[in-house]
Amino acid sequence: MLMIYDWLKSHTNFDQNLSPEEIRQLFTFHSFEIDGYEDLNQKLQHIIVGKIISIEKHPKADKLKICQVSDGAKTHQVVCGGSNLSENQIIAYCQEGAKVLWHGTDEVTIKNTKIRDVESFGMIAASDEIGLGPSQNNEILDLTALNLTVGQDLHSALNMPNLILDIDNKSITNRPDLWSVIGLARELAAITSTEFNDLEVPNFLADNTASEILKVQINNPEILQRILLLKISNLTICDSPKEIQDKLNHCGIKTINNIVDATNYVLHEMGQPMHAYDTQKINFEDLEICYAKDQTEFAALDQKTYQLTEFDPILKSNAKPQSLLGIIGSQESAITQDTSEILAEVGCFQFNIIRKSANKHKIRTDGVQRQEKQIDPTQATKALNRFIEILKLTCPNLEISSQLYDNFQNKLDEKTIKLSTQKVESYLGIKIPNQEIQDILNRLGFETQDLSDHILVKVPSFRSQNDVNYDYDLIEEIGRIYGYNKIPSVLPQDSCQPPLQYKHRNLSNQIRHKLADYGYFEVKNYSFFNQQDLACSDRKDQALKMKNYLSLEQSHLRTSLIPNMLKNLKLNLKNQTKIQTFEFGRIYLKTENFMPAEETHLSIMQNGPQAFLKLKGALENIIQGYNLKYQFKPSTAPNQSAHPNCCADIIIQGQTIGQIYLINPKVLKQYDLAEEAIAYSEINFGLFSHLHLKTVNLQEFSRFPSISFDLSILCNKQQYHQEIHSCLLKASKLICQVKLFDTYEGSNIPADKKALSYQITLQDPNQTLTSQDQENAIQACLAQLKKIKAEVRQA
Amino acid sequence: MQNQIQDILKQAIEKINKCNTEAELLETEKSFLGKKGSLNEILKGVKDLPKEDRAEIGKLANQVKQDINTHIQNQKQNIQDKALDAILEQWHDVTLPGIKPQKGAVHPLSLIQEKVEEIFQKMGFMILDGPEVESDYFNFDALNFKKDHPARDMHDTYFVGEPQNKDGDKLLLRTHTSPVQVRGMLQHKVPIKAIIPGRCFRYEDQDATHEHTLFQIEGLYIDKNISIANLKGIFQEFLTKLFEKKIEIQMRPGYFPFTEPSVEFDFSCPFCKDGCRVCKYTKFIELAGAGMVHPNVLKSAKVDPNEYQGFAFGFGLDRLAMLYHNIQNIKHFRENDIRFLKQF
Repeated sequence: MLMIYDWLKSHTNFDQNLSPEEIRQLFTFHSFEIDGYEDLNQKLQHIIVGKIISIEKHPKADKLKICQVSDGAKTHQVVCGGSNLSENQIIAYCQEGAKVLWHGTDEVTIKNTKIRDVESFGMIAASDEIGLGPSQNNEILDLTALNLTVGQDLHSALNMPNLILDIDNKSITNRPDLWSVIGLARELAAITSTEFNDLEVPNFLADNTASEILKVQINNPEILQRILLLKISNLTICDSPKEIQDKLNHCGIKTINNIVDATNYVLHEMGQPMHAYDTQKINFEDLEICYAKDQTEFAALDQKTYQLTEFDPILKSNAKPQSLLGIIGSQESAITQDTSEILAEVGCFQFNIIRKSANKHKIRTDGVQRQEKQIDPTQATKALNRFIEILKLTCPNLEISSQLYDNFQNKLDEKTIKLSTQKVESYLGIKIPNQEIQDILNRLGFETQDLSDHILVKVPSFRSQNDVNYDYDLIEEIGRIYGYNKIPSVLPQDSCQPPLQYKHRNLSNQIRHKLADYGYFEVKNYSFFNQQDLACSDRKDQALKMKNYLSLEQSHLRTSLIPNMLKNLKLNLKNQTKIQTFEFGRIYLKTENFMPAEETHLSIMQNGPQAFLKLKGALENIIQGYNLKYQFKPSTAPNQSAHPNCCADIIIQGQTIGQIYLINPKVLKQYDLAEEAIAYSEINFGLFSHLHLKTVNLQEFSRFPSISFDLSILCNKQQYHQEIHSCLLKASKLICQVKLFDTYEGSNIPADKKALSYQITLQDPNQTLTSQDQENAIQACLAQLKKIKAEVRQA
Repeated sequence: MQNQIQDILKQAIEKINKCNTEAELLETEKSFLGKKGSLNEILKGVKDLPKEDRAEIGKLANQVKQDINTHIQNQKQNIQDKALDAILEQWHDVTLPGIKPQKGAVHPLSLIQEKVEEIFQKMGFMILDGPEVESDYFNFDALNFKKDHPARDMHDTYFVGEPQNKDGDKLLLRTHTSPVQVRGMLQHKVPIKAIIPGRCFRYEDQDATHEHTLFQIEGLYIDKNISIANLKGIFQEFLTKLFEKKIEIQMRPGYFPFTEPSVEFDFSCPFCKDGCRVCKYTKFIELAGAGMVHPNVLKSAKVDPNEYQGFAFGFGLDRLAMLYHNIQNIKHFRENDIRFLKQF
């Protein structure tokens, strides 16, 4: 919202001249945020009112003239190409150092120079060059009609404001009162400890002799908090006075005509939205405030047609909506060049009704911005009087042609809050004297009564709706005006109780670093994936679809981490060949309960030769690191995205916590990946972190030497190593280690067989082993192998 | 025989001095002093000598044996010294690339999160989690966002399609970590001292500084006498530890439905003294929103606001990580490009 700082300041006794930056800080540290500002005084520096004394032709350029320009004291030679130059013309004279917009766009600083060999001291400005509106046909800004004093600086000669503030709307959402000049002025006075001068408005309604009584049928009183209606006639449409236009323009409001401008002026000055209907289209026998009927067409002032619903509040006349109350007027009863009589409306509507309706139709008018925050209804009459006062500037003979219709449905209760000064101190952490607390509140418009241990505070009407209700609301007022920066930093006194720790978090942090050390990169993907990605997941039936999403790529919440990781892999393949990634992320699953289930999963992915075994090794290292016994068991229920013959369940403490597999090549093709093999593991980390982690219980090792021998075993190609391994391990209690060191398929052995070579180590805790021990162990191994139809390969 | 023995010594010395390796030396030692060595061969004749000479020859032989041994030891030392000298003379290119174990990386957001968690844990804060798919109730109502209040507009919300409304409640993706304030207090009761790191979602288009998926850190401290001054103290301590530099806090009014009073936090730029690009030449960096937890929020958590009070704060982890590592574009955090990740 744009605001003229000078306008605010004029309603206070604040007389310090602060820099724009200081003003910004003043508001920022006590009240609200300023998004930016325009320093008009600075902008027009070195530009003064000048007068053209004489004009000569330029000897070397047809389009240029040599002007002698008076600054009131001296005469300066200026070369100028303006098409409307004339002698005795009053112009904007830019002296050396002035900043202008060259051709209305690029900022340049004026220097004394030579133009086509003729010396030129400064510049005569076109209006777009100094930001005073558009200019045409190469014309310079002609100020002759304004009767200005030559030599005066242009900024003060034109009576322009110094500073326009751009207030951050978000930071005043909770302050309906600040959406007006008067509200902001009160705030400025409170911050600066100066006096606030409220707007004084004559009461034109006091001696109203008009006889017509307006009748309105209120079908839905809940829409209204208060509404004033008044017929005003004998009006002439014209432009608003320059001062009104200037102010509105500086606040970014388009000026239209005297009536519309007056409503906007009141809105901006007092924060009270208004509407003016042309009475020609209003049937005064049939005025109704109600909700629209479903599917009513409504042609609004903004040239758009809206389909109204039964939630839209309207003023109805002639069976048609004449306005969407508090939001926008109709095209039909809009003010035109021919308007001579209006129905003026000052409405304070129920904020939530307005908000709902405006949001539905996506209409954001200045009126909506104020109505949706709830307007102080006690100001309505004053606003109407102010409207008449402004109108009288252009229509001094206007007539009030009806009795005032004032429907105050919901009167405000007086609100009083008991404020404990001890609580102020306890909340803010600093003791502020009673008197200072009261002083701050008084400046903000609250009335106070000191009752020693507490203060009785009366909330003014403009703060009593959706704003200040409780003592803590007052504490905020005190804190910010006192200044949060004056509050010291104090560490709380508390116990030495160490905080509760979650195993889950410690484990994930540790594993994250382990995986990074093993060469894996942590990725963080979005929680979304698309419709096709669902195919990768075993739990697609539990997937949650989004109601709104930014792209089709993100239409669902993920039920598996694999699709996004495959997309990462594909992206990274552009720059490297070997890719190892992992992610800790949640998946989201529909359940029978209202709240979905969220599981944190750990996924690891890698490509390249022997990807599966490498990934498995990394996982084993991690699991072993926690002293857990585990098993990778060929899966009987491979994941959707897994190669059906290369998928193992990861089983720890009897629980399957996840799977490791090669990704099904058909899935890879779907993701347009030409990689031969990508290994992947997804672990339900919640299950993992709930495992019982045992502390290391030291196994004493034998002091006696061990002996080893090798066995090469011939078995079926589809024989699992794990089976041979455990069979060998349990063959003799002397066998302490069985290690696979070679696998072979090919010539010398039958085509359906493979050879696995193991190194077997024997050790006894109590004695040195003999060759007989070894022989016994070999025999025991052979016996065991027979059971699984494997044999020792003859060398 | 004496001469013979003396000769052996001479020969031995000559041969020993010619040895260039320890193996040669061993061989030489064997040939002179071994069982079948030349000294022994000569000494076989001792038995034929007159008794009185035997002692003398024995003495001499021992002497010679000792001398040869000394020479061998000396030569051994020489050979070893030479070998060491040879090693020392070798030239090495220390600028050749090292042979590294393969290294991955932890995501920078995780790294900064761990740092933040560690500091707060040391100050006695526990770390809580909450659901990312949240109910409208916990995300808004319980946090004192009134129905149809414009404050809800500040949170562009992702809604989950199904399940459909239950008792008027809806499912959405949490727009902030604040719902866990209420969940945390309900679960752990008060007093409570916790931070809640987590993923949040805003339904808004992405650009260099905007993301629909954000990582936040929420803080909550409720006890009997916790004040704004404590909030300032804790926050200052946290940032000072994080940046390993004395940090000043600047507080100004803010507005959040779930805190009253509400404040915004800026902290003194840790990267400059007089203004720089990071702080946009203001010497302060905006970071967090905070305030005293609104009594209505305490009531949602079944906590008596007349007995307990305290503060809450929230800030963006992404933003902090960007500041910390001089990352200009938030996109990097979600692209998962290894060229980005491997720098951490």
